[in-house]
Amino acid sequence: MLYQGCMIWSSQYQYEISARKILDFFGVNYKVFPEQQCCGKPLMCVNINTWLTLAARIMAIAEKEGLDVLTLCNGCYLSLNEARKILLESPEKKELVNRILGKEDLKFSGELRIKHIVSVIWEDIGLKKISENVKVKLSGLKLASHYGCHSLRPKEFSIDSNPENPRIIEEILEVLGAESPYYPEKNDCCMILMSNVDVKGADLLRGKKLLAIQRRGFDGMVTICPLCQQSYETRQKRISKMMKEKISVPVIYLTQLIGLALGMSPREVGLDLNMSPVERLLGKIGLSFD
Amino acid sequence: MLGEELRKLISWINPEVCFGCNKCVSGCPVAEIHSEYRPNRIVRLAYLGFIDELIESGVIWYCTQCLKCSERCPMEVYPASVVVALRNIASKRGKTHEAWIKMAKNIALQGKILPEMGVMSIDRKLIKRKDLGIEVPNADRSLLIRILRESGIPLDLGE
Amino acid sequence: MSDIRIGVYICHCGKNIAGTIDVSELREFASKLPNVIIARDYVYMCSSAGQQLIIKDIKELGINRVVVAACSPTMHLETFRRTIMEAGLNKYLLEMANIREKCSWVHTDRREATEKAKKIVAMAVRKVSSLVPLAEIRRRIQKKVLIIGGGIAGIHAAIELARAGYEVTIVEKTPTIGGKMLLFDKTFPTLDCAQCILSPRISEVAKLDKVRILTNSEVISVEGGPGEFHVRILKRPRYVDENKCTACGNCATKCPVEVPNEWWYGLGKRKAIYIPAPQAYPNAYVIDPNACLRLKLKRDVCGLCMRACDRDAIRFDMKEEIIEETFGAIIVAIGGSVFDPTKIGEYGYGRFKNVITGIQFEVLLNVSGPTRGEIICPGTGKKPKTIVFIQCVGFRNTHFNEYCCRIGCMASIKHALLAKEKLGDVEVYICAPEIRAFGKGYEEFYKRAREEGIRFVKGLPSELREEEDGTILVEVYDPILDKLLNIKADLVVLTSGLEASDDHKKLSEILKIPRSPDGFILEKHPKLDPTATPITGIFVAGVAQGPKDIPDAVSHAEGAAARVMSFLANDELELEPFKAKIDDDLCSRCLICVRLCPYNAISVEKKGSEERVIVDDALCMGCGVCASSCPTGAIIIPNILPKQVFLQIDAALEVEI
Repeated sequence: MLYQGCMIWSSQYQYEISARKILDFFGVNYKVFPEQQCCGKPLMCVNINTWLTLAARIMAIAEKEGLDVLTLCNGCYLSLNEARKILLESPEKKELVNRILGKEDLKFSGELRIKHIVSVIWEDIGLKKISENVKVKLSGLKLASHYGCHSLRPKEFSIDSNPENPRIIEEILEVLGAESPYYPEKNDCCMILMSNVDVKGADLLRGKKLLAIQRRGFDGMVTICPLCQQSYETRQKRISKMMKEKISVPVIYLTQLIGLALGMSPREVGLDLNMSPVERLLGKIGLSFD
Repeated sequence: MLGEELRKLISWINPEVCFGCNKCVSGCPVAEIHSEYRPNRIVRLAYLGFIDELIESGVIWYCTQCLKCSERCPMEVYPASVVVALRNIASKRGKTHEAWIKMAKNIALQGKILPEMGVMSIDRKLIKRKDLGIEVPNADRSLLIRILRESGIPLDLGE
Repeated sequence: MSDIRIGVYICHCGKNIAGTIDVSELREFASKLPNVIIARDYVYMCSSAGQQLIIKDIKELGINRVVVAACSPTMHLETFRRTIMEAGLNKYLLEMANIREKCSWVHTDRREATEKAKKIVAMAVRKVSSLVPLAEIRRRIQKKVLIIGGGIAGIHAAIELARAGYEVTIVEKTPTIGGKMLLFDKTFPTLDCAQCILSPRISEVAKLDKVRILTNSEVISVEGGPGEFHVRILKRPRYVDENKCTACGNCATKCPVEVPNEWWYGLGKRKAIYIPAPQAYPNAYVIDPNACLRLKLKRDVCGLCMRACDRDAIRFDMKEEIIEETFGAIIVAIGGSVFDPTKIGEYGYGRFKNVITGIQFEVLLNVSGPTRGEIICPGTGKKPKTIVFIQCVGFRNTHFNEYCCRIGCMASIKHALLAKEKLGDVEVYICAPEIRAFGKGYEEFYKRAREEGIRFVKGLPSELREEEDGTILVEVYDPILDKLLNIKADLVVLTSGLEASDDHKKLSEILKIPRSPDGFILEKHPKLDPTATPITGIFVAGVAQGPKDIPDAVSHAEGAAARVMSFLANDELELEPFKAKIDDDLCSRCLICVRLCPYNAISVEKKGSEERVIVDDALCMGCGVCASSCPTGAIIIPNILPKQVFLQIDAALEVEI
């Protein structure tokens, strides 16, 4: 089950487009369910049982067809994994949830896996296959990897076995020909949840990271979550005003970069929908929108 | 026992064992820009029973759930989870933050926390999902409201 | 049951018992029980006056079985045994009725408590009637002591024991004795020179005739029991003749192989032939068989060291030796191992060059170390202008070790003061939730640190970040300032603490001694017997029992030595007679007991075609597992018989409420 989550249905289409292109290229089968709903994570802060039910519904829909869930969003990834764990450990909560889902003839049993697209690229497709199919080497690109928070914490669900020093994105980028060195701000959060309450403060911290990436000479920032992508790509003008310094950082999804390296055109991977100055990045590897 | 109300919501928290190492504050991005926000202070106030004050102050809605505090706390206090428990208690008392009420209403309305906004492409066109030939969500409103209602959400969803 | 004359002695224990139980009523009740000649109550039965009451009755009234109704037997069983022995009665004809921990301390209703006490006393009276006189088992003792581990604790214990006339063998795993203290520059809180304290001790223990030192050696098996431990020691070959080597170092100069120096915790290299430290004992070089080309490849290659040596001290033909010996007592003094903070990913140890451990800082300070005593940042090679120490790394932490490392605070203060002394213009921060300065002179040492401008921050950083130039960005919350400090450090030191090592697990299995949940060797009693283990004859000294500083390690070691001395003082060892006895006629040779015995005390003895199952009294702990498992009831423990249990049950049920 390809689970997009709210942000992608709303505006972050390029993530889904590029992800699907890669999955199709490597023959990874998936099914889209238009009847899916929000994973419920925001409602964890309002009523835990509501979140558990919404998350369980997604998993139950997948289970009905014997599918695992493939998520594109960090928030959904953690939400489903955590809900699954809680429901498996608490028979009462599982019963409550199944009572509600039962009216739709759905049942959650937890016998499925929740995978992040990055893990699927790493495990199911594999670096070897990717490297064999690289047509356009991303040579000369120095990229800042942004993992976000929920792909790494809590440790038990982390997509990288070393969550304090993750390298899974870097290794994929290296196979594509780019370099992705460590930088001190790597671990900074995109502050998306705090922006519900204090947008200025969130922008200040986002600006801090973007500015650092810019000053350290990176050609762009790589994301694996639509919430992070949106946080950094859409507000650069506003943030520039706030930080009193021009911030112009290309922010691009890992899946889009992989697509480019496989020989797809920028439009094919939805780069025409990115809201940051990606032309600069494309120019460095000899690509453009025309 | 202290913190019982919190523990009923989230069983794995250990608010009373915090010995004040301040590691959570050192790594908290919110604490960096908000001087009144200290994760361990919220935990201590919560388990000592100052829940009204915490809810009134609104400080519990700032946490961005980056989970650095919970992950690195040497005593497994899980401050971020204490915040979630407090938000649940606040909601039960009708004090949910408006941003979350909005998200809940959107989920009831269309199954997502935001409606479809579309995106401005590089060619200055507003693109939506159908323009790209990818599936458009279909949400069953009554189903979603039922799920929210039956799971006990303490909000007026404007049914 | 002829002529059983029982005396019942009820203790008030001040108000502990008398406050809840009606002792007069209890005494009245006891005096009417079968075979009870006299029942008395007294305010403190364990006092001299109380004991005299018992002795007088034994002598004058011919009392020949004694029941003392008082506290738990773990408190005063031995006391009262000695009392009746003094009066001429066999010390095992005593039964204690616990009416304190099991009655007055756990009940509040006077009526209920008194009735329950009556039952307890009735049961004890019934049991004591069936006790028979027993005698201690006597065993030979070898007046030889094995000390496993040659650090400061092992060395001190050895010196004391040798002075008292015992033969001591020290078995040390590494090629030298001295332990971790060999690395230290100065010690806290006096900042006196560590080697000036250690070296004289090393040379003293080396000179003692009664001490045999086996380095590069390990204990591989221990059989037998207290008084007679049969030990097998593996002595690994040094490949250098200790008697010929003068430690001139010519061999090392020529050796082509370089490997990381484990004595420097990775901060430098050594050759395949090396000496761990200049003041090592034996003061001779040693070849590392995993590094040396000739030994690793098992071919006639290289040999440059042999040619460089003008004393002909290098012998590649040396082989490992197995030494078998019998010892009367064993002291475990294996120290601990330094916590590796690589597992704490957020601090970047192993990734960031300028993040080091406390023990590595110690190595930097060591004048015989890789930097000749200069404090230098490993990443930049320059002297640091800002150093940050982070405390409690890997300790007080449910993910790693819950205990406090005990020495971290003092070690970092020492390091900070030495840094100020050596570098002069340096800013030093110590990040700690609080400072633990519990020992003599420690709080004053802490004050001195503050006076010298060392800045203490009462918070721990959450993560460390590395700048392109190698400096470390430390963000830490200072609760007094209520501010997040951003410190740009040239060097960050993650304070080192000690954990139990792999040797703890290995040795605890070889010696069959238990470990505490933290992995260190379990002491017999944390307050009253901290240097003994639950296994008779095996003792523990120093950090092996739990992390401690040098003064405490030395005190602990001297304590262990004293315990060994009193243990081996007599010519014979006295063991309690509660040992399993097998009735050969009932024994069906099923061998269930042999397999179940946790102390390996039961074995099969073959004499020609005859087979017998026998119990080694020295190993048997009287736990009763064998007795309860024997399908034919062939095994009993004297004075702890099933029939006695049934008698007590009868007594309890007979008493009307």
